[in-house]
Amino acid sequence: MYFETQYINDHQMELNMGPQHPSTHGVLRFIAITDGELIQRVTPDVGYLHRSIEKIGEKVTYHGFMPYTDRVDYVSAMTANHAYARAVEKLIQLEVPKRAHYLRMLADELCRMASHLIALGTYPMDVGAVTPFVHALREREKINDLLEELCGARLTYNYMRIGGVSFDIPAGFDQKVLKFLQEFDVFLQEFDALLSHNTIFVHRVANLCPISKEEAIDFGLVGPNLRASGFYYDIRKEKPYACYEELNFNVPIGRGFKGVIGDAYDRYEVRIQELKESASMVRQIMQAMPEGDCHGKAPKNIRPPKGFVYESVESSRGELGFFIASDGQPNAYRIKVRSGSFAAISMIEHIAKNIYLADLVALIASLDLVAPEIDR
Amino acid sequence: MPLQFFTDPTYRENFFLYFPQVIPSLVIDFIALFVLIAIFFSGMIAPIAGLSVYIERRLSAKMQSRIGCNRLGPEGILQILADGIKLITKEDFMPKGADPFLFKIAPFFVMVGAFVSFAVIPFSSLFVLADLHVGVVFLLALSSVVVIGIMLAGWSSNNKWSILGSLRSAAQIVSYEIPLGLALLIPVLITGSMNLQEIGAFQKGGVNHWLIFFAGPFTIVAFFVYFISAIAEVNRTPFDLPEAESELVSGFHTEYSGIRWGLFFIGEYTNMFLISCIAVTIFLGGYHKSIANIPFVWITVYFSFFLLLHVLTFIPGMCKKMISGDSFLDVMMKNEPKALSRTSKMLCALISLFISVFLHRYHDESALIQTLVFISKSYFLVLIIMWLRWSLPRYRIDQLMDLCWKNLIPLSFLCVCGTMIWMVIT
Repeated sequence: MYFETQYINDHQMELNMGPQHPSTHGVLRFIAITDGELIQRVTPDVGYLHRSIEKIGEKVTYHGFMPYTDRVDYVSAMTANHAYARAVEKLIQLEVPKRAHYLRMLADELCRMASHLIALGTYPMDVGAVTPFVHALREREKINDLLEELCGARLTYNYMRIGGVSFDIPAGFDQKVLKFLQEFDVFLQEFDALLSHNTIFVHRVANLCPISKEEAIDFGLVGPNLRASGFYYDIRKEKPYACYEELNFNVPIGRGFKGVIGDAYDRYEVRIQELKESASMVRQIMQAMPEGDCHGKAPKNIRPPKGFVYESVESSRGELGFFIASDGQPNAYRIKVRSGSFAAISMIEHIAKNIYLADLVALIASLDLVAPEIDR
Repeated sequence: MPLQFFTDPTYRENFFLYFPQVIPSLVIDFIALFVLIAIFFSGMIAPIAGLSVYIERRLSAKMQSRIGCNRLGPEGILQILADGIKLITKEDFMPKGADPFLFKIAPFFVMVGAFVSFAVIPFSSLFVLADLHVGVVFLLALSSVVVIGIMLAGWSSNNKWSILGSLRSAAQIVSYEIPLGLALLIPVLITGSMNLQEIGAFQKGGVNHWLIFFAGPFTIVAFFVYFISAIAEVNRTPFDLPEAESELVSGFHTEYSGIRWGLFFIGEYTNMFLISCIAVTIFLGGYHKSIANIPFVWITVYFSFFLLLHVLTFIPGMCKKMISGDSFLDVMMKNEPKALSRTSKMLCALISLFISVFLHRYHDESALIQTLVFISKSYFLVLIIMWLRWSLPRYRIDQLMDLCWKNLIPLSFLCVCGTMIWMVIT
């Protein structure tokens, strides 16, 4: 790692934030050159959570890699499952039953809600309010209960299979989902009342570190962070996968709700609205769930033809894509994961200038960084 | 008479005239005072601070859909003892490169600054340790002792986060002392005395005699200026920047553990109770119960206590609902099966009934009644401080300074001038 200590003058201090720090969301390190509390330059240092997931992908079979994709982004594991399954299905040109598509979308949207709840919960905690975090996690527990009924796991689901999903929905699942969604509407109103219009919170994050549309595109920002900058881009709309074109939903974009477009408050508000959209999508999916088989007809030993494939889905943190290079063997020649948090963290050095230390914490929280997704 | 110095004003005035002759008596006086203070603190203030810790843990748990400590003793009340034993038996760790002397002495400044202030607080018309003529100045002086402890802790820890926290604290406490001092000046203006006992006695005779309602809007605003500045003085949320957990790990006490950390902790909770005591003494009628002796009225008061918390939630910028569809009122009074058991609700009702009957029985204000009234009024403010902590985010350092220098200080000057004009006119 390259340190810039040689540039420090007498008025500056090198402040080492992390790898162990309460608000770095995992194991993440920032080297800040500060003048007192004012940050002049901050350099992210990634790699503390590198687990060689891409390398493991070259050693295990295509079916066997599925549990590892959970660990790419353990806050939103379903979408990683989905992206990998889609990449392999495209590689071997496998048809997926419609019910499996719907179950995947159901799992994706529930998981997106859980992930956004973590993002929106840790955000106020980094700004100093603890109670909204606990309320958000309480709701996430209910989603975890639902997903546990669906696939047996609460964090690393390993739910999707190449060609389908592992289990059909259990009996009485739809009633439980609808009951949860009713409670969830009440929770969202409360959360708004508790936090969204709180004067201190708005003062803290409105106009903080705005990212313009051009900057966001230059740095390859994706997902809610990109949409908060006012750019309409959602893979579910642009390149509809699964059966997203059959659902009716809006893509919220940042409009400068309390400050300028693309500030930290917009990134908060866009996620709040995405929660509402996801909730309505889950309702639609439960209504339009088709009958049929949900298990795929994938061969036991996948030996795909030679070639490259790249498939991505809209994860909670934006585009999550798997690139697979195959040389005809039962395991991949190369697997590369493209993740949203990695683009977001490269943004920090560019925008975090002349802000306070407290603002850096709020900025990290607003970008919804998840350390394992950065390092993989 | 060892305590003559503190009880007899003429003795005290003569004292300085005949200073050399009375030195032995002086020594005895101070020893007696220290013994008294020690008994007082160990017997009264420390349990109150401990109780605040317990109440805050249970209260925050209720606000956050948790249960809180309920294992040790009835409803978990003995948890504070267990915590104390744990803290005392932990290793007294000191980081490498720390300044040993300053590191060890720093927590005592914080605790002593908080505890000694209670010497001038009148808990009843008879129960005050030192009936000083300069009580208000004494309080202001001692509130500055705390910042020395925090600065020493930050400096001696040899840690960048600690020093940042202590610098924040220094800036914050020194700034907020100005509106605090100006707000405390108003009761001094009205009563013409700096003696807290006299300020308390001035407010006898009912709510309309409380100093908060003395000069129309000016004293009411002064009370809020005092209360906000005082919360900032004791580093509680939303002004908890010196120990901002998510930013500065733990701020000035990052490197502290064991009982030295515990001393900071006790100091914080004692300070919280102290500022409530000062607010009650100076603005909210002191130890006078100020309400007619009818049980019905007292029961109404106890219900309006909960109601007030409910109403306050509609202040803009504060949260409206605290827990899963229930307001604070619901949490305290109604059915939250896991949060408040039936036994404790019955207990609360019984206690408030008992207190109302008890207060009704005693028409003349005995010292015990006065102390009870004083402590319950103070605890009401402590509860408000806790409630603020668990519902508000934290200010940024520049916003904190803006709030002080651009809003609170002009407002407090306005209050002082307004009160003076009000006093001249009426």
